[in-house]
Amino acid sequence: MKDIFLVSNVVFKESIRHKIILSLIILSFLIILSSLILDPIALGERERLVKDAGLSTISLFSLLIIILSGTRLIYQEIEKKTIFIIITKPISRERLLLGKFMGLLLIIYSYSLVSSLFLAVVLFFAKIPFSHSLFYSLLLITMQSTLLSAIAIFFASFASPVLSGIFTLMAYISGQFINDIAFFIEKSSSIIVKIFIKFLMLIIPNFYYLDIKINAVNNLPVSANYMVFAISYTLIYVTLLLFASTLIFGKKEFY
Amino acid sequence: MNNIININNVKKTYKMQFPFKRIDAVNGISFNVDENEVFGLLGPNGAGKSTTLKMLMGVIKPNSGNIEILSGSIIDRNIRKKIGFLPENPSFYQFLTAYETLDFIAGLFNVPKELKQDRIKTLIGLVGLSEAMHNPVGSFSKGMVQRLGMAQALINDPEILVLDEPMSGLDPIGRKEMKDIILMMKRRGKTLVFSSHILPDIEMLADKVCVINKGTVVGIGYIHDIIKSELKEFDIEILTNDTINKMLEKYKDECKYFSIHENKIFITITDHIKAEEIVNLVRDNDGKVLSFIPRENKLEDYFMNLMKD
Repeated sequence: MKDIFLVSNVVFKESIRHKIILSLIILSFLIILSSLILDPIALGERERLVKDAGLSTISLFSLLIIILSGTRLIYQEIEKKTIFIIITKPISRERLLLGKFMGLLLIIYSYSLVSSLFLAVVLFFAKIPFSHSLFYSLLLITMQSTLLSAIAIFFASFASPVLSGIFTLMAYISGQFINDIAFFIEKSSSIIVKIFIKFLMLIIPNFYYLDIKINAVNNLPVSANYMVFAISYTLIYVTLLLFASTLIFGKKEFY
Repeated sequence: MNNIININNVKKTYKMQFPFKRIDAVNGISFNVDENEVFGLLGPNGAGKSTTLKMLMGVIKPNSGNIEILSGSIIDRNIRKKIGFLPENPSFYQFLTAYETLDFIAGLFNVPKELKQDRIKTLIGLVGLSEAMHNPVGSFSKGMVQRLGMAQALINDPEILVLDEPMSGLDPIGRKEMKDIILMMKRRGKTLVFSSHILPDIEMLADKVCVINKGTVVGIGYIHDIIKSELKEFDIEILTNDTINKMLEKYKDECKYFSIHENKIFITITDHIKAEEIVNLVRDNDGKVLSFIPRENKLEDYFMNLMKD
Protein backbone atom coordinates (compact mmCIF):
# COMPACT_ATOMS: atom_id res chain seq x y z
CA MET A 1 0.00 0.00 0.00
CA LYS A 2 2.92 2.33 0.74
CA ASP A 3 3.92 2.67 -2.91
CA ILE A 4 0.32 3.47 -3.93
CA PHE A 5 0.22 6.14 -1.23
CA LEU A 6 3.56 7.59 -2.40
CA VAL A 7 2.34 7.91 -5.99
CA SER A 8 -0.99 9.41 -4.90
CA ASN A 9 0.85 11.89 -2.71
CA VAL A 10 2.96 13.03 -5.68
CA VAL A 11 -0.15 13.38 -7.88
CA PHE A 12 -1.77 15.48 -5.15
CA LYS A 13 1.29 17.69 -4.65
CA GLU A 14 1.71 18.23 -8.38
CA SER A 15 -1.96 19.16 -8.81
CA ILE A 16 -2.31 21.59 -5.94
CA ARG A 17 0.76 23.45 -7.16
CA HIS A 18 -0.82 23.79 -10.58
CA LYS A 19 -2.21 27.28 -11.10
CA ILE A 20 -5.15 26.15 -13.26
CA ILE A 21 -6.48 23.79 -10.58
CA LEU A 22 -6.08 26.42 -7.87
CA SER A 23 -7.82 29.00 -10.07
CA LEU A 24 -10.73 26.61 -10.65
CA ILE A 25 -11.14 26.03 -6.92
CA ILE A 26 -11.14 29.77 -6.16
CA LEU A 27 -13.58 30.44 -9.03
CA SER A 28 -15.99 27.80 -7.72
CA PHE A 29 -15.94 29.44 -4.27
CA LEU A 30 -16.72 32.80 -5.83
CA ILE A 31 -19.69 31.32 -7.72
CA ILE A 32 -21.06 29.72 -4.54
CA LEU A 33 -20.67 33.04 -2.75
CA SER A 34 -22.25 35.00 -5.57
CA SER A 35 -25.49 33.01 -5.25
CA LEU A 36 -26.16 35.09 -2.12
CA ILE A 37 -26.25 38.34 -4.04
CA LEU A 38 -28.82 36.95 -6.47
CA ASP A 39 -31.45 37.29 -3.74
CA PRO A 40 -33.48 39.98 -5.55
CA ILE A 41 -34.07 37.75 -8.57
CA ALA A 42 -34.73 34.61 -6.53
CA LEU A 43 -38.41 35.48 -6.21
CA GLY A 44 -38.65 34.06 -2.71
CA GLU A 45 -36.78 30.90 -3.66
CA ARG A 46 -33.54 32.01 -2.05
CA GLU A 47 -32.94 28.74 -0.20
CA ARG A 48 -33.44 26.68 -3.33
CA LEU A 49 -31.26 29.02 -5.39
CA VAL A 50 -28.31 28.98 -2.97
CA LYS A 51 -28.47 25.19 -2.49
CA ASP A 52 -28.87 24.53 -6.21
CA ALA A 53 -26.05 26.90 -7.15
CA GLY A 54 -23.80 25.38 -4.49
CA LEU A 55 -24.42 21.75 -5.45
CA SER A 56 -24.24 22.41 -9.20
CA THR A 57 -21.00 24.38 -8.82
CA ILE A 58 -19.34 21.66 -6.75
CA SER A 59 -20.49 19.02 -9.25
CA LEU A 60 -19.39 21.01 -12.33
CA PHE A 61 -16.01 22.04 -10.95
CA SER A 62 -15.31 18.49 -9.79
CA LEU A 63 -15.91 17.44 -13.39
CA LEU A 64 -13.58 20.16 -14.70
CA ILE A 65 -10.81 19.25 -12.24
CA ILE A 66 -11.11 15.57 -13.19
CA ILE A 67 -10.99 16.34 -16.91
CA LEU A 68 -8.05 18.72 -16.55
CA SER A 69 -6.10 16.64 -14.08
CA GLY A 70 -7.20 13.05 -14.56
CA THR A 71 -6.99 12.76 -18.31
CA ARG A 72 -3.43 14.13 -18.31
CA LEU A 73 -2.11 11.94 -15.51
CA ILE A 74 -0.93 9.01 -17.62
CA TYR A 75 -0.23 10.75 -20.91
CA GLN A 76 1.89 13.40 -19.26
CA GLU A 77 4.07 10.67 -17.77
CA ILE A 78 4.58 9.16 -21.22
CA GLU A 79 4.96 12.43 -23.10
CA LYS A 80 7.45 13.90 -20.63
CA LYS A 81 9.11 10.49 -20.17
CA THR A 82 8.86 10.55 -16.37
CA ILE A 83 7.40 7.06 -16.83
CA PHE A 84 10.92 5.68 -17.53
CA ILE A 85 12.04 6.77 -14.07
CA ILE A 86 8.99 5.36 -12.28
CA ILE A 87 8.27 2.00 -13.93
CA THR A 88 11.88 0.89 -13.57
CA LYS A 89 11.52 1.18 -9.81
CA PRO A 90 10.09 -1.59 -7.62
CA ILE A 91 6.45 -0.70 -8.24
CA SER A 92 4.14 -2.68 -10.51
CA ARG A 93 2.32 -0.89 -13.30
CA GLU A 94 -1.01 -1.84 -11.70
CA ARG A 95 -0.04 -0.19 -8.43
CA LEU A 96 1.30 2.86 -10.26
CA LEU A 97 -2.07 3.26 -11.98
CA LEU A 98 -3.93 2.74 -8.72
CA GLY A 99 -1.66 5.36 -7.14
CA LYS A 100 -2.60 7.78 -9.89
CA PHE A 101 -6.28 7.07 -9.31
CA MET A 102 -5.96 7.49 -5.56
CA GLY A 103 -4.08 10.76 -6.10
CA LEU A 104 -6.90 12.02 -8.28
CA LEU A 105 -9.41 10.99 -5.62
CA LEU A 106 -7.33 12.80 -3.01
CA ILE A 107 -7.59 16.03 -5.04
CA ILE A 108 -11.30 15.59 -5.69
CA TYR A 109 -12.16 14.57 -2.13
CA SER A 110 -10.16 17.48 -0.74
CA TYR A 111 -11.98 19.82 -3.11
CA SER A 112 -15.36 18.27 -2.23
CA LEU A 113 -14.65 18.56 1.49
CA VAL A 114 -13.41 22.16 1.37
CA SER A 115 -16.16 23.32 -1.01
CA SER A 116 -18.84 21.52 1.04
CA LEU A 117 -17.57 23.25 4.18
CA PHE A 118 -17.57 26.53 2.31
CA LEU A 119 -21.16 25.91 1.19
CA ALA A 120 -22.09 25.08 4.79
CA VAL A 121 -20.59 28.39 5.96
CA VAL A 122 -22.45 30.27 3.22
CA LEU A 123 -25.70 28.54 4.22
CA PHE A 124 -25.05 29.35 7.87
CA PHE A 125 -24.65 33.07 7.19
CA ALA A 126 -27.70 32.97 4.91
CA LYS A 127 -29.62 31.30 7.77
CA ILE A 128 -30.49 28.32 5.58
CA PRO A 129 -30.54 24.94 7.37
CA PHE A 130 -28.09 22.25 6.29
CA SER A 131 -30.50 19.32 5.74
CA HIS A 132 -29.84 15.57 5.67
CA SER A 133 -30.74 15.39 2.00
CA LEU A 134 -28.16 18.12 1.26
CA PHE A 135 -25.53 16.05 3.02
CA TYR A 136 -26.57 12.95 1.02
CA SER A 137 -26.53 14.93 -2.18
CA LEU A 138 -22.96 16.11 -1.46
CA LEU A 139 -22.00 12.53 -0.67
CA LEU A 140 -23.37 11.33 -4.01
CA ILE A 141 -21.58 14.16 -5.84
CA THR A 142 -18.40 12.72 -4.32
CA MET A 143 -19.46 9.27 -5.59
CA GLN A 144 -20.10 10.79 -9.01
CA SER A 145 -16.58 12.27 -8.92
CA THR A 146 -15.15 8.89 -7.90
CA LEU A 147 -16.85 7.26 -10.88
CA LEU A 148 -15.77 10.04 -13.23
CA SER A 149 -12.18 9.75 -11.97
CA ALA A 150 -12.20 6.03 -12.77
CA ILE A 151 -13.62 6.78 -16.23
CA ALA A 152 -10.93 9.43 -16.80
CA ILE A 153 -8.18 7.02 -15.72
CA PHE A 154 -9.65 4.29 -17.95
CA PHE A 155 -9.62 6.51 -21.06
CA ALA A 156 -6.25 7.99 -20.11
CA SER A 157 -4.73 4.50 -20.01
CA PHE A 158 -4.91 4.32 -23.81
CA ALA A 159 -5.91 7.72 -25.28
CA SER A 160 -4.33 11.17 -25.50
CA PRO A 161 -5.44 13.86 -22.98
CA VAL A 162 -7.68 15.59 -25.53
CA LEU A 163 -9.38 12.37 -26.59
CA SER A 164 -9.73 11.01 -23.07
CA GLY A 165 -11.11 14.41 -21.99
CA ILE A 166 -13.71 14.24 -24.76
CA PHE A 167 -14.54 10.60 -23.97
CA THR A 168 -14.91 11.35 -20.25
CA LEU A 169 -17.16 14.30 -20.96
CA MET A 170 -19.24 12.22 -23.38
CA ALA A 171 -19.54 9.43 -20.81
CA TYR A 172 -20.71 12.02 -18.25
CA ILE A 173 -23.27 13.62 -20.58
CA SER A 174 -24.62 10.32 -21.91
CA GLY A 175 -24.70 9.01 -18.32
CA GLN A 176 -26.82 12.00 -17.27
CA PHE A 177 -29.38 11.45 -20.00
CA ILE A 178 -29.35 7.69 -20.46
CA ASN A 179 -32.60 7.25 -18.51
CA ASP A 180 -34.41 9.92 -20.53
CA ILE A 181 -33.22 8.46 -23.84
CA ALA A 182 -34.15 4.98 -22.69
CA PHE A 183 -37.64 6.18 -21.74
CA PHE A 184 -38.35 7.39 -25.26
CA ILE A 185 -36.75 4.51 -27.08
CA GLU A 186 -38.59 1.95 -24.95
CA LYS A 187 -41.63 3.08 -26.86
CA SER A 188 -39.94 2.02 -30.10
CA SER A 189 -41.36 -1.10 -31.72
CA SER A 190 -37.93 -2.24 -32.99
CA ILE A 191 -36.47 -5.05 -30.89
CA ILE A 192 -32.96 -4.29 -32.20
CA VAL A 193 -33.19 -0.69 -30.93
CA LYS A 194 -34.46 -1.91 -27.56
CA ILE A 195 -31.62 -4.46 -27.21
CA PHE A 196 -29.10 -1.81 -28.25
CA ILE A 197 -30.40 0.61 -25.60
CA LYS A 198 -30.38 -2.12 -22.93
CA PHE A 199 -26.75 -2.80 -23.88
CA LEU A 200 -25.89 0.90 -23.70
CA MET A 201 -27.55 1.16 -20.29
CA LEU A 202 -25.37 -1.69 -19.15
CA ILE A 203 -22.06 -0.18 -20.24
CA ILE A 204 -22.67 3.57 -19.87
CA PRO A 205 -22.42 4.64 -16.23
CA ASN A 206 -25.78 5.95 -15.09
CA PHE A 207 -25.06 9.27 -13.41
CA TYR A 208 -28.80 9.75 -12.94
CA TYR A 209 -28.56 7.42 -9.92
CA LEU A 210 -26.05 9.75 -8.32
CA ASP A 211 -27.92 12.98 -8.86
CA ILE A 212 -30.30 13.76 -5.97
CA LYS A 213 -29.98 17.53 -6.13
CA ILE A 214 -33.77 17.79 -6.50
CA ASN A 215 -34.21 16.10 -3.12
CA ALA A 216 -31.65 18.40 -1.50
CA VAL A 217 -33.06 21.58 -2.98
CA ASN A 218 -36.67 20.67 -2.10
CA ASN A 219 -35.78 19.11 1.27
CA LEU A 220 -37.19 15.75 0.20
CA PRO A 221 -36.05 12.72 2.17
CA VAL A 222 -33.55 10.21 0.75
CA SER A 223 -33.81 6.62 1.97
CA ALA A 224 -30.81 4.77 3.40
CA ASN A 225 -31.52 1.92 0.97
CA TYR A 226 -31.18 4.27 -1.96
CA MET A 227 -27.86 5.56 -0.64
CA VAL A 228 -26.56 1.98 -0.21
CA PHE A 229 -27.67 1.16 -3.76
CA ALA A 230 -26.05 4.29 -5.26
CA ILE A 231 -22.77 3.84 -3.38
CA SER A 232 -22.61 0.10 -4.23
CA TYR A 233 -23.36 0.87 -7.89
CA THR A 234 -20.47 3.35 -7.95
CA LEU A 235 -18.01 1.03 -6.21
CA ILE A 236 -18.78 -1.92 -8.50
CA TYR A 237 -18.45 0.27 -11.58
CA VAL A 238 -15.18 1.79 -10.33
CA THR A 239 -13.73 -1.65 -9.58
CA LEU A 240 -14.56 -2.90 -13.09
CA LEU A 241 -13.12 0.22 -14.72
CA LEU A 242 -9.91 0.04 -12.69
CA PHE A 243 -9.55 -3.64 -13.50
CA ALA A 244 -9.86 -2.89 -17.24
CA SER A 245 -7.47 0.10 -16.92
CA THR A 246 -4.77 -1.96 -15.20
CA LEU A 247 -5.06 -4.66 -17.88
CA ILE A 248 -4.55 -2.07 -20.65
CA PHE A 249 -1.80 -0.19 -18.81
CA GLY A 250 0.02 -3.42 -17.91
CA LYS A 251 0.45 -4.27 -21.58
CA LYS A 252 1.36 -0.80 -22.73
CA GLU A 253 4.82 -0.20 -24.15
CA PHE A 254 6.69 3.07 -23.72
CA TYR A 255 9.07 4.24 -26.42
CA MET B 1 33.54 -14.08 -12.65
CA ASN B 2 29.77 -14.48 -12.58
CA ASN B 3 27.56 -13.37 -15.41
CA ILE B 4 24.93 -11.21 -13.81
CA ILE B 5 23.34 -9.97 -17.01
CA ASN B 6 22.68 -12.36 -19.91
CA ILE B 7 21.10 -11.04 -23.06
CA ASN B 8 20.47 -13.78 -25.57
CA ASN B 9 19.39 -13.24 -29.19
CA VAL B 10 17.01 -10.42 -28.34
CA LYS B 11 14.94 -8.84 -31.11
CA LYS B 12 12.65 -5.84 -31.09
CA THR B 13 10.56 -4.51 -33.93
CA TYR B 14 8.66 -1.25 -33.62
CA LYS B 15 5.37 -1.03 -35.45
CA MET B 16 4.64 2.50 -36.58
CA GLN B 17 1.01 3.60 -36.47
CA PHE B 18 1.23 5.39 -39.79
CA PRO B 19 2.43 4.64 -42.49
CA PHE B 20 2.33 1.17 -40.89
CA LYS B 21 6.03 0.52 -41.28
CA ARG B 22 7.98 -1.98 -39.20
CA ILE B 23 11.38 -0.96 -37.93
CA ASP B 24 13.84 -3.57 -36.66
CA ALA B 25 15.40 -1.59 -33.80
CA VAL B 26 17.25 -4.57 -32.33
CA ASN B 27 17.95 -7.59 -34.46
CA GLY B 28 19.32 -10.49 -32.42
CA ILE B 29 21.61 -8.91 -29.84
CA SER B 30 23.50 -11.17 -27.41
CA PHE B 31 26.03 -10.29 -24.71
CA ASN B 32 26.90 -11.03 -21.10
CA VAL B 33 27.98 -8.69 -18.33
CA ASP B 34 30.16 -9.95 -15.50
CA GLU B 35 29.91 -8.94 -11.88
CA ASN B 36 31.90 -5.78 -10.98
CA GLU B 37 32.41 -4.99 -14.64
CA VAL B 38 31.93 -1.67 -16.38
CA PHE B 39 30.25 -2.54 -19.64
CA GLY B 40 29.97 0.06 -22.39
CA LEU B 41 27.43 -0.07 -25.17
CA LEU B 42 28.84 1.89 -28.08
CA GLY B 43 27.16 2.76 -31.32
CA PRO B 44 26.07 5.59 -33.56
CA ASN B 45 22.73 7.32 -33.03
CA GLY B 46 19.85 4.97 -33.82
CA ALA B 47 22.01 1.85 -33.45
CA GLY B 48 19.67 0.27 -30.88
CA LYS B 49 21.51 1.09 -27.64
CA SER B 50 18.57 2.73 -25.86
CA THR B 51 16.13 0.06 -27.04
CA THR B 52 18.47 -2.61 -25.65
CA LEU B 53 18.69 -0.85 -22.28
CA LYS B 54 14.93 -0.28 -22.19
CA MET B 55 14.40 -4.01 -22.75
CA LEU B 56 16.97 -4.78 -20.07
CA MET B 57 15.01 -2.56 -17.68
CA GLY B 58 11.62 -4.00 -18.66
CA VAL B 59 10.27 -0.74 -20.08
CA ILE B 60 9.58 -2.53 -23.37
CA LYS B 61 9.28 -6.23 -24.06
CA PRO B 62 11.43 -7.97 -26.68
CA ASN B 63 9.63 -9.72 -29.55
CA SER B 64 11.90 -12.72 -29.04
CA GLY B 65 15.00 -13.74 -27.13
CA ASN B 66 15.77 -13.91 -23.47
CA ILE B 67 17.02 -11.40 -20.89
CA GLU B 68 18.24 -12.54 -17.50
CA ILE B 69 19.44 -10.18 -14.79
CA LEU B 70 20.74 -11.27 -11.36
CA SER B 71 19.58 -14.81 -12.27
CA GLY B 72 15.99 -13.68 -12.66
CA SER B 73 13.67 -11.39 -14.53
CA ILE B 74 13.43 -7.61 -14.32
CA ILE B 75 9.68 -8.04 -13.69
CA ASP B 76 10.62 -9.30 -10.21
CA ARG B 77 10.35 -6.36 -7.80
CA ASN B 78 13.10 -7.76 -5.58
CA ILE B 79 15.50 -7.69 -8.52
CA ARG B 80 14.50 -4.13 -9.44
CA LYS B 81 15.32 -3.11 -5.86
CA LYS B 82 18.98 -3.90 -6.65
CA ILE B 83 19.18 -1.87 -9.84
CA GLY B 84 19.61 1.85 -10.47
CA PHE B 85 18.57 3.24 -13.84
CA LEU B 86 19.22 6.56 -15.52
CA PRO B 87 17.20 6.86 -18.75
CA GLU B 88 18.35 8.94 -21.70
CA ASN B 89 17.30 12.59 -21.18
CA PRO B 90 15.56 11.92 -17.85
CA SER B 91 12.49 13.88 -16.86
CA PHE B 92 10.88 14.49 -13.49
CA TYR B 93 7.71 15.98 -12.04
CA GLN B 94 8.04 19.70 -12.66
CA PHE B 95 6.42 20.97 -9.45
CA LEU B 96 8.37 18.75 -7.06
CA THR B 97 11.67 19.93 -5.64
CA ALA B 98 14.87 17.90 -6.09
CA TYR B 99 14.63 16.80 -2.46
CA GLU B 100 10.97 15.76 -2.81
CA THR B 101 11.79 13.85 -6.00
CA LEU B 102 14.53 11.83 -4.31
CA ASP B 103 12.35 11.35 -1.23
CA PHE B 104 9.59 9.91 -3.43
CA ILE B 105 11.97 7.55 -5.25
CA ALA B 106 13.66 6.49 -2.01
CA GLY B 107 10.17 5.65 -0.74
CA LEU B 108 9.53 3.40 -3.75
CA PHE B 109 12.74 1.54 -2.89
CA ASN B 110 11.65 1.35 0.74
CA VAL B 111 14.87 3.00 1.93
CA PRO B 112 14.69 2.97 5.76
CA LYS B 113 13.56 6.26 7.26
CA GLU B 114 16.70 6.64 9.40
CA LEU B 115 18.93 6.38 6.30
CA LYS B 116 16.79 8.29 3.84
CA GLN B 117 17.46 11.89 4.80
CA ASP B 118 21.24 11.44 5.03
CA ARG B 119 21.40 9.52 1.78
CA ILE B 120 19.37 12.12 -0.10
CA LYS B 121 21.56 14.95 1.17
CA THR B 122 24.76 13.02 0.41
CA LEU B 123 23.65 12.25 -3.13
CA ILE B 124 22.47 15.79 -3.76
CA GLY B 125 25.90 16.97 -2.64
CA LEU B 126 27.64 14.34 -4.76
CA VAL B 127 25.91 15.51 -7.95
CA GLY B 128 26.39 19.18 -7.05
CA LEU B 129 22.78 20.21 -6.49
CA SER B 130 22.97 21.25 -2.82
CA GLU B 131 22.06 24.87 -3.51
CA ALA B 132 19.09 23.91 -5.70
CA MET B 133 17.86 21.15 -3.37
CA HIS B 134 14.58 22.91 -2.53
CA ASN B 135 13.91 24.37 -5.97
CA PRO B 136 11.24 22.85 -8.22
CA VAL B 137 12.68 20.60 -10.92
CA GLY B 138 10.77 22.65 -13.51
CA SER B 139 13.29 25.46 -12.97
CA PHE B 140 16.32 23.19 -13.59
CA SER B 141 18.62 23.33 -16.62
CA LYS B 142 19.17 20.19 -18.71
CA GLY B 143 22.48 19.53 -16.96
CA MET B 144 20.89 19.85 -13.52
CA VAL B 145 18.14 17.41 -14.50
CA GLN B 146 20.82 14.98 -15.68
CA ARG B 147 22.60 15.31 -12.31
CA LEU B 148 19.31 14.66 -10.48
CA GLY B 149 18.86 11.65 -12.76
CA MET B 150 22.19 10.29 -11.57
CA ALA B 151 21.26 10.91 -7.92
CA GLN B 152 17.98 9.01 -8.26
CA ALA B 153 19.79 6.11 -9.94
CA LEU B 154 22.01 5.82 -6.84
CA ILE B 155 19.33 6.29 -4.18
CA ASN B 156 18.96 2.55 -3.49
CA ASP B 157 22.75 1.92 -3.37
CA PRO B 158 22.30 -0.44 -6.34
CA GLU B 159 24.30 -3.54 -7.20
CA ILE B 160 23.85 -2.82 -10.89
CA LEU B 161 23.78 0.65 -12.39
CA VAL B 162 22.30 1.03 -15.87
CA LEU B 163 22.99 4.42 -17.45
CA ASP B 164 21.68 5.48 -20.83
CA GLU B 165 23.90 8.26 -22.22
CA PRO B 166 24.89 9.53 -18.74
CA MET B 167 27.02 12.42 -20.04
CA SER B 168 24.30 13.81 -22.30
CA GLY B 169 23.50 17.50 -21.80
CA LEU B 170 26.34 18.14 -19.37
CA ASP B 171 28.92 20.90 -19.57
CA PRO B 172 32.64 19.98 -19.30
CA ILE B 173 32.59 20.26 -15.49
CA GLY B 174 29.44 18.17 -15.30
CA ARG B 175 30.96 15.54 -17.61
CA LYS B 176 34.05 15.34 -15.44
CA GLU B 177 31.94 15.01 -12.28
CA MET B 178 29.75 12.32 -13.87
CA LYS B 179 32.83 10.38 -14.96
CA ASP B 180 34.20 10.66 -11.42
CA ILE B 181 30.95 9.22 -10.03
CA ILE B 182 31.10 6.31 -12.49
CA LEU B 183 34.73 5.64 -11.56
CA MET B 184 33.82 5.84 -7.86
CA MET B 185 31.05 3.25 -8.40
CA LYS B 186 33.56 1.09 -10.28
CA ARG B 187 35.97 1.29 -7.32
CA ARG B 188 33.13 0.31 -4.98
CA GLY B 189 32.72 -2.89 -6.99
CA LYS B 190 29.40 -2.04 -8.63
CA THR B 191 28.45 -3.46 -11.99
CA LEU B 192 27.82 -0.73 -14.52
CA VAL B 193 26.22 -0.87 -17.93
CA PHE B 194 26.21 2.38 -19.83
CA SER B 195 25.60 3.48 -23.36
CA SER B 196 27.38 6.21 -25.23
CA HIS B 197 28.26 7.31 -28.72
CA ILE B 198 31.27 9.20 -27.39
CA LEU B 199 34.39 7.07 -27.89
CA PRO B 200 36.72 8.66 -25.30
CA ASP B 201 34.07 8.17 -22.58
CA ILE B 202 33.83 4.45 -23.30
CA GLU B 203 37.62 4.18 -23.63
CA MET B 204 38.17 5.88 -20.30
CA LEU B 205 35.45 4.20 -18.24
CA ALA B 206 34.60 0.76 -19.62
CA ASP B 207 36.30 -2.57 -19.00
CA LYS B 208 34.44 -4.17 -21.86
CA VAL B 209 32.78 -2.66 -24.91
CA CYS B 210 30.02 -3.91 -27.13
CA VAL B 211 29.70 -2.11 -30.44
CA ILE B 212 26.18 -2.04 -31.86
CA ASN B 213 25.20 -0.92 -35.33
CA LYS B 214 21.83 -1.24 -37.05
CA GLY B 215 20.47 -3.34 -34.20
CA THR B 216 23.20 -5.99 -34.20
CA VAL B 217 26.41 -6.54 -32.26
CA VAL B 218 29.28 -5.87 -34.66
CA GLY B 219 32.09 -6.22 -32.13
CA ILE B 220 32.64 -7.03 -28.49
CA GLY B 221 35.76 -7.24 -26.36
CA TYR B 222 37.80 -5.99 -23.45
CA ILE B 223 39.16 -2.47 -23.86
CA HIS B 224 42.71 -3.58 -22.99
CA ASP B 225 42.60 -6.13 -25.82
CA ILE B 226 41.22 -3.62 -28.29
CA ILE B 227 43.62 -0.82 -27.42
CA LYS B 228 46.78 -2.85 -27.97
CA SER B 229 50.01 -1.54 -26.48
CA GLU B 230 51.84 -1.92 -29.80
CA LEU B 231 52.40 1.27 -31.74
CA LYS B 232 50.23 1.93 -34.71
CA GLU B 233 52.01 4.71 -36.61
CA PHE B 234 54.44 7.62 -36.29
CA ASP B 235 53.91 11.28 -37.15
CA ILE B 236 57.24 12.93 -38.09
CA GLU B 237 57.88 16.61 -38.78
CA ILE B 238 61.22 17.41 -40.43
CA LEU B 239 63.18 20.61 -41.17
CA THR B 240 64.56 19.65 -44.58
CA ASN B 241 66.91 20.63 -47.40
CA ASP B 242 67.23 19.60 -51.06
CA THR B 243 69.47 16.59 -50.29
CA ILE B 244 67.02 15.21 -47.77
CA ASN B 245 64.07 15.88 -50.10
CA LYS B 246 65.72 13.78 -52.82
CA MET B 247 66.69 10.99 -50.42
CA LEU B 248 63.20 10.74 -48.88
CA GLU B 249 61.58 10.32 -52.32
CA LYS B 250 62.13 6.53 -52.06
CA TYR B 251 60.01 6.37 -48.87
CA LYS B 252 57.09 8.28 -50.35
CA ASP B 253 55.08 5.22 -51.42
CA GLU B 254 55.51 3.57 -48.02
CA CYS B 255 54.17 6.56 -46.11
CA LYS B 256 50.53 6.85 -45.13
CA TYR B 257 50.93 10.61 -45.51
CA PHE B 258 53.75 12.58 -47.15
CA SER B 259 53.69 16.32 -47.71
CA ILE B 260 56.33 19.03 -48.35
CA HIS B 261 55.61 22.64 -47.34
CA GLU B 262 58.46 25.08 -47.96
CA ASN B 263 61.35 23.72 -45.87
CA LYS B 264 59.28 21.22 -43.87
CA ILE B 265 58.17 17.66 -44.51
CA PHE B 266 55.22 16.02 -42.72
CA ILE B 267 55.18 12.23 -42.70
CA THR B 268 52.90 9.55 -41.23
CA ILE B 269 54.38 6.07 -41.49
CA THR B 270 53.36 2.74 -39.93
CA ASP B 271 56.64 0.78 -40.25
CA HIS B 272 58.78 1.60 -37.20
CA ILE B 273 62.06 0.45 -38.86
CA LYS B 274 61.46 2.78 -41.78
CA ALA B 275 60.57 5.55 -39.35
CA GLU B 276 63.92 5.14 -37.61
CA GLU B 277 65.73 5.08 -41.00
CA ILE B 278 64.10 8.39 -41.92
CA VAL B 279 65.12 9.98 -38.62
CA ASN B 280 68.75 8.81 -39.05
CA LEU B 281 68.84 9.99 -42.66
CA VAL B 282 67.65 13.46 -41.67
CA ARG B 283 70.23 13.77 -38.89
CA ASP B 284 73.08 12.53 -41.14
CA ASN B 285 72.27 15.14 -43.79
CA ASP B 286 72.12 18.33 -41.69
CA GLY B 287 68.35 18.24 -41.32
CA LYS B 288 66.38 18.48 -38.11
CA VAL B 289 63.58 16.27 -36.67
CA LEU B 290 61.13 18.82 -35.27
CA SER B 291 58.76 16.25 -33.82
CA PHE B 292 58.43 12.49 -33.66
CA ILE B 293 55.09 11.30 -32.26
CA PRO B 294 54.38 7.58 -31.89
CA ARG B 295 50.62 6.83 -32.03
CA GLU B 296 48.90 3.89 -30.32
CA ASN B 297 45.85 1.95 -31.45
CA LYS B 298 42.71 3.67 -30.17
CA LEU B 299 39.14 2.58 -29.70
CA GLU B 300 38.35 4.95 -32.53
CA ASP B 301 40.30 2.76 -34.98
CA TYR B 302 38.50 -0.35 -33.77
CA PHE B 303 35.14 1.40 -34.01
CA MET B 304 35.79 2.89 -37.44
CA ASN B 305 36.95 -0.46 -38.81
CA LEU B 306 33.76 -2.11 -37.54
CA MET B 307 31.61 0.63 -39.05
CA LYS B 308 33.38 0.21 -42.41
CA ASP B 309 32.59 -3.52 -42.40
